[in-house]
Amino acid sequence: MTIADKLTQIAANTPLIYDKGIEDGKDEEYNAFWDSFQQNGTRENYRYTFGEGWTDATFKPKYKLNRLNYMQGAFRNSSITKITRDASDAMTLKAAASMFQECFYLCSQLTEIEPTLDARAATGGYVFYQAFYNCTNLKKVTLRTNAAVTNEYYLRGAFQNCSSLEELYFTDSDSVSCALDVRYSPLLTARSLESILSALNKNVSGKTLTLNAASRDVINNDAGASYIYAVALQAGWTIAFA
Amino acid sequence: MKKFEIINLIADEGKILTNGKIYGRVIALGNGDSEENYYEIPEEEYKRIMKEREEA
Repeated sequence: MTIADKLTQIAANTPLIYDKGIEDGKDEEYNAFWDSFQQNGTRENYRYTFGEGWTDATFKPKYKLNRLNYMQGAFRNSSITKITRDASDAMTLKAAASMFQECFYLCSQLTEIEPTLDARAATGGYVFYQAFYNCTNLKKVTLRTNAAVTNEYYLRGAFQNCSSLEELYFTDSDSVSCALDVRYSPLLTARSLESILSALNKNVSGKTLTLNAASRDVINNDAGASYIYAVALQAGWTIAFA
Repeated sequence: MKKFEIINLIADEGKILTNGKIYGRVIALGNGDSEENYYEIPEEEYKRIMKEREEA
């Protein structure tokens, strides 16, 4: 190889070396930030952390948000559009006093939360209070609730103004023992309504479920949902269509 | 086989049914609940109550 060829080769490789240097620098910066921010993966308290200014481009946690404690307002007013399984397999509260209160409050660009929000261990009265308030574009979310909690604030305002919600699922039947209000969600599917009605704890009575008026037709036209609807009424749940 | 009658209360035009806690144009009574627990309010009052709740 002549000197000219070598110089040509070096010149050709220079951008690649430069680009690799940039990427290495980015990785180093990413690791340094998230290692510190997430305390090398040990952080469990994200109260009011990913709020205003956070987007899909910036919300790329290095460590999954799986075992959690305080999540009050964690994503409040953020511009994140989707919480994926890259960020969490399941957002699982680990302590009795932990909660998702106002967790996604005013996240109007949020469309889907892929991981289940697992509050089985949380026994406080405000666990899902206004959790999805004004998530006007949220289409899908799955919850795991605690059947032992009867506090009327447990799910109060959780789905207020969730006008795009199509799929609301509860992982466990008979796991909701307090009032539930999804009146602002006219697009709930039959399978979703079936899940909601199944989740009403048939061992407690005198509780109420409020659905959007549109859900009445969906229930009436679906054999599975109609059956569970009747079971819930027979168990003592009063169901309002607003 | 069990026979179970579903009782639906349906509000008059421009009215909303409530027992003071829940509100709806149609209320399907749960077993043990009674229509005597419900009364009608004007839709405007319902909207005002909902607005107050939202602002609370």
